[in-house]
Amino acid sequence: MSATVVALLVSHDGARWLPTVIDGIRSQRRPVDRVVAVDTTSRDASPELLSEAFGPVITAHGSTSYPAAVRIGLEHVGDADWVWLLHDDSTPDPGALEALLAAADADLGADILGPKLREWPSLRRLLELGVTISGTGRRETGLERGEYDQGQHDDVRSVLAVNTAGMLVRRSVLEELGGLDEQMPIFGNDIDFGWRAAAAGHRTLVVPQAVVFHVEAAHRGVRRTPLTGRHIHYQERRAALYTLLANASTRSLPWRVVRLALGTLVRMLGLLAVRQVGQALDELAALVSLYGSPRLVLRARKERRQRQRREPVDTQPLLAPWWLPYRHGLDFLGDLAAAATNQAADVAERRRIATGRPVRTFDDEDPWAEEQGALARFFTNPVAIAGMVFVLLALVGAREAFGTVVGGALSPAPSTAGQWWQLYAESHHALGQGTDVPAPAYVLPLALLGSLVGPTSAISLLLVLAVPLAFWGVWRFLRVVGRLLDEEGPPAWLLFVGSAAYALIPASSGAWGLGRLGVVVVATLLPWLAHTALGFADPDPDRRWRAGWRTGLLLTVAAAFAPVAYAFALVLAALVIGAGFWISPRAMKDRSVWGPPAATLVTPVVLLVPWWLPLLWTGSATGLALDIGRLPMATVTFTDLVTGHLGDAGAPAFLGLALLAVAVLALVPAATRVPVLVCWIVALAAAVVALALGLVTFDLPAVTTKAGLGFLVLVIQAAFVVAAVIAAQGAWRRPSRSGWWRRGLVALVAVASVAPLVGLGWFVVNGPGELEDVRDSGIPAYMHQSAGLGPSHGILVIEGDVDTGLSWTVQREDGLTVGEDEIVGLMTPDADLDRDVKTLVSAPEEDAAATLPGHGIAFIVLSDPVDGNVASVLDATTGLEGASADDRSTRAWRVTDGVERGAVEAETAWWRIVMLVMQGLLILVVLVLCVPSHIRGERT
Amino acid sequence: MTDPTPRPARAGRRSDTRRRVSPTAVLAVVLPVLTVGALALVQPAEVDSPGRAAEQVPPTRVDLVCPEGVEDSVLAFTGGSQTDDGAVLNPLGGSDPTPLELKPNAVPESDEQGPAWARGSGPVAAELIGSRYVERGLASAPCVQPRPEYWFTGVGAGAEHSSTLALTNPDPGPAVADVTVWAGTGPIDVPGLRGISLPGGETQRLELGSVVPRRGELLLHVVVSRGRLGAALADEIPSIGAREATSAWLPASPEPATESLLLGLVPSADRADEPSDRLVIGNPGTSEVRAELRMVTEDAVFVPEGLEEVRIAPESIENVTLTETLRRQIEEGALGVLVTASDPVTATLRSVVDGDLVHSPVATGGDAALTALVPPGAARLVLARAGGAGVAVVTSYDENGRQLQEKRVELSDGSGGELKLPGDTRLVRVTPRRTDVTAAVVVRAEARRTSGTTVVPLEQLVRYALIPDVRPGLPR
Repeated sequence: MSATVVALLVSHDGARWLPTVIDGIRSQRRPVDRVVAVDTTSRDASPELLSEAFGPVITAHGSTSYPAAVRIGLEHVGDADWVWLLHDDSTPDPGALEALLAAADADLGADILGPKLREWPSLRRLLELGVTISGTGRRETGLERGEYDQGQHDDVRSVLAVNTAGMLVRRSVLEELGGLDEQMPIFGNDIDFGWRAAAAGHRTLVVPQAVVFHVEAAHRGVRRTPLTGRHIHYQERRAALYTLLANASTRSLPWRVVRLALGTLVRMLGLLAVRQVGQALDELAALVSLYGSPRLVLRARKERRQRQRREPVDTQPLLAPWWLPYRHGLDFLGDLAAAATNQAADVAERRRIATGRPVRTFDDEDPWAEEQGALARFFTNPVAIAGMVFVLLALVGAREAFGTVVGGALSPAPSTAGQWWQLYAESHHALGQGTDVPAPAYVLPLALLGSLVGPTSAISLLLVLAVPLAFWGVWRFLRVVGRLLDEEGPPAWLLFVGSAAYALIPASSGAWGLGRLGVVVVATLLPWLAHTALGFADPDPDRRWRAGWRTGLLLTVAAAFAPVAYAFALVLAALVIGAGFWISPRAMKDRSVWGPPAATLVTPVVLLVPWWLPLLWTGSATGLALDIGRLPMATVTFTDLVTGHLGDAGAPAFLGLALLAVAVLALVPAATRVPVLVCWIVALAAAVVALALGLVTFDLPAVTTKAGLGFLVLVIQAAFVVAAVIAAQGAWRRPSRSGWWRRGLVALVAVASVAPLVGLGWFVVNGPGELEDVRDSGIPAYMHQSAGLGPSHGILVIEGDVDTGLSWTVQREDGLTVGEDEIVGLMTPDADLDRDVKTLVSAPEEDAAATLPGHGIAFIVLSDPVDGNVASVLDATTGLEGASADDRSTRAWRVTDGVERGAVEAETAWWRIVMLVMQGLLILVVLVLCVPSHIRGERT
Repeated sequence: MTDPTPRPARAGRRSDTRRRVSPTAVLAVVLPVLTVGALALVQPAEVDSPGRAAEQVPPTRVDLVCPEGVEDSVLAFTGGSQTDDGAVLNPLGGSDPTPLELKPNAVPESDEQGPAWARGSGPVAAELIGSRYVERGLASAPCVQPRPEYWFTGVGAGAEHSSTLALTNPDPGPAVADVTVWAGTGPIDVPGLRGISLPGGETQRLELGSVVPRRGELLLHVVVSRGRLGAALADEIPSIGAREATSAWLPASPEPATESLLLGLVPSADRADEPSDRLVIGNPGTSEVRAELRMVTEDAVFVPEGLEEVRIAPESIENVTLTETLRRQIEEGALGVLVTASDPVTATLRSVVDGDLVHSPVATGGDAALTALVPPGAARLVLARAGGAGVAVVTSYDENGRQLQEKRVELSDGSGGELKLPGDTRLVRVTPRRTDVTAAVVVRAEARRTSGTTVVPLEQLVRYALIPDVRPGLPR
């Protein structure tokens, strides 16, 4: 006598799929003996379809969960041997039931059998061949994503659980185990059921010969029921956690409790990192809902214990291996990296696709390339060789920056990165007589880099790699710009000339040799920033938003290293948005068009609050108009601006004039005139800012200086280079009218190419500029050591002579290091000390030196050349005794009264900490917003 | 760059329309013009450094270091018009300070022989001057305010002319000085004169004949690298044949200058005397200097016949024997010798007249009151090189501050004059009106069968303290 099989079909708004499902059940080669249909108050035609097919339908309440529906259906099953559970979105292959029963006959110990689930409607991809659960609660199928069914898994085997869609289970077992657990209304009840069955000594088999096609409507969000609501992820996670906690062995329970809590946090961070805020909150809610009601779990565990009547099946081999979650973690990171690197594949191409133009693939490489090794290809490519030679020569030019480097505007690096962190965290610095002027924002990136490689190497890296990195960045940028103009993009030789011309700007402008670290760093950064800004032109709104945030982040770094960059960005945005409204007012109303640039402009304001805000309230907003580094700024004139120089430094001016000439000539060809005009708009924005800043002279307490125009010099030159490359590409690709035109073009390009060559030669010879290994401060080593004891052991350094005026500075601890110059330049010196120094040097008075310990001064140094008048006054001052100086050209005194501890101290106020924590969080948020969206929506 | 729509097509279409200038062409002209125009307006004014000259204020304190006495010397002081009793004489070597009782224009004296220093505090600091003189073979030396450097030109370190440098440290703390020496052959490395260290309140005498024995003239540059020092140089011509040894203080030369007026020439009283006059010019610079010597008379400055241009090699010292020319010119009324050099030099005129050593120092003059303490003897005031038409009011006082004489000397541009001072004159004050003038007093005295002469330049008594402009700076 053959066993009786009752199919138990539960439906809810499944009219879309039911006709096929009904066909599937009816066409079974081994027909089912009866069909029990349960409908949970569908609002579509499901009940009618079911009753037409299988007779009376049991109707349950709309909020009935799947386990409850199964329980209701089970009451109507009668005394059948087997119950075949089916969903309204799963249709069995005609041979499914036959194969399942055959497997049951072959293995009499099997109580639960599951089919091979394939994707519906593709019908080919594998969904599940039995499922298990990993230690983190992840549903594991053991399949690759989107794996095709090619019979590769067609062995009957024991599994922990099978999906309820198509599950054939002995009625007695179903009843003995109390059906499915109603704590899991939609998801995960199958794994729990399988696990419970195993614990109760029942075996589960997957039978790949039986095939069921499944839509997974609930999981994919195709179907929303009152049970899932919008929070599918919550339901899935809650079910997973519940399953693990309810079924785990008592021994492993404490470990699992801790691990799941921590794991949830890690998963939340991961989800936040890919902007899945909703899912992250779902994770948390699932954890809280279960951990908040431990009785639920305890009751479930008790119930499961009570049902253990037979020898349990060993579930260990059926559970997912322990390392699986870690592999998934690695996969996730890999996906992230792949998405980030693929991002660049190229605005030009995507625009072309979006406008429906054909995308050709170009292979201007050697057709034999594939057959040659990479090395051979490299050495037979003249541009590659030239690039390598260029980078090597640039490194030779940068020789002075290897190891410690100071000079010009550049102070020495601090001895540890911790000093940078401390400087950044302090709200009150022990510089001079103590100041509230905030540490400049670029200290943060330097501290990060310095923590990785050490402060000295951080500065060296920034200087040494400036030219190579700028070369690389501008190469990428120019290639995309060229491909926006025409499909083929610029020829490699043109890219090389353009990139070399740009990469040499920091050197040939003199910024490198003057030690203007900010300008050099921004020169490195600018092409990368421009490249991300090209993303504003992306056809995909989401990519425009990513570009907006990325550009914003890079602009923030740029504004930290060159504050003027932000003013420039504002002016440029005003010009470009104005032009946008002129050209296409309708497009500009689209939020995804104006939003990303707006995000770019807002980001620096928000992220630089810990710098800008205290600058304003300490009255040092001047700092926003200065380049970073030592004061004063180079005086930049009209000639310097058009030829790309900082004051008198840098390469010969005719190189800059050549570039200017080419940039003007670039406006002549009509075909490329519009993009060249865009370059000129960029130059105009820089010129406007230069004009505004050039009119101002800043009277700082210690020095009078002009604004720092280094960044603008750089931008103007960069715009000229890009304009020249665009025009050259246009002329090259459209060999026009007559031979003389082409010959003239070649001649012009040849002449223009000479400029970078001469610039490179100049850099190789004159590279070091004002940079050197050490700077002689004229302060004896023993004083440095004494100053290192604490900020109260200051050294008062007096320079100048009586006739032309004296100036004083106070050096504390290790002297001024990178990051402190800006503070000292902007701070208001202590008026009391100023008065006391004046008294001290004017005439020997009895108690002139008595106030010095209170000012935190332990030594006085009179710098070379010493004014004997001042020296004799100090010699005759009581309270000072001569100290040995570095050499005979300087003089030094020790203050005989010991130091007053705590005379000058650094402080870190709570609001500074709050500000920095906020800044850190905001940086994370922006970083998250920068992450490519490619990986969104994946199962996590 | 925010606009995602491509534009080249549009530009092309417009350029096709005839007789209509394409907007891009307009922009192609406008944008570069605007850009370069905006940049052209960036014409930063040179950052002018504001005036940072020191502020001049009346001194509140002055210290004068007086040289050590030779034999029976006298220290004379005056507080000028001040009556303040804030002046104290501090002998070095343990004696108690003694207050100087100053009355207006009086010249109190002290017979303190050792090195000493005087301090004037309060109003008297502006006018306190002092000097030491020896009556026998009359010699005098001013008490000097300690300064960072001293120049001495025409120093001897041989058998025929020997000098002793005396450094005095008035302060309690130590002081250090370095002495650089140039000879006719160039700079001399003298280890013994480098890093001379003086404990507080001590005097150190350096007999140059033993420290750096050599013939010929030397130029000394004393640089006080630490502390304060007063420096004086005692000069001696040992006895040669019938002539007795004679000594005097060699006055310190001012900073090297391109023009030096050596004022106060001493005529020979004894017809049998065989005077000698030697002009010494020191060139501490690194290039050769050409110096022109001219005679200064009451109303003219000229190059006398037979006097040639002097060339001084770099970093060396040159001496010119002037006796023949000078003696003739003195008889014809010459008052001084003007040395005009192509580069800064120092100069001294050393004469032995009637067996007595006399230095005609560089006089600097000025347009404010010039004063000098006059040793006892027959004094003659010499005025020269008036800066323009004006009057010099010459006032003489005796040791009690009694005014002996007040005379007005009319001056015209470049002119000068001579004026015999009353016999008891101990203080002379020359007040130029509407002009400036240079002055010196030539004093001749007979004492213990010897006659002696000394020349005392008048110095401007505008004394002020410099309050330097002090401001916070930026570290190097």
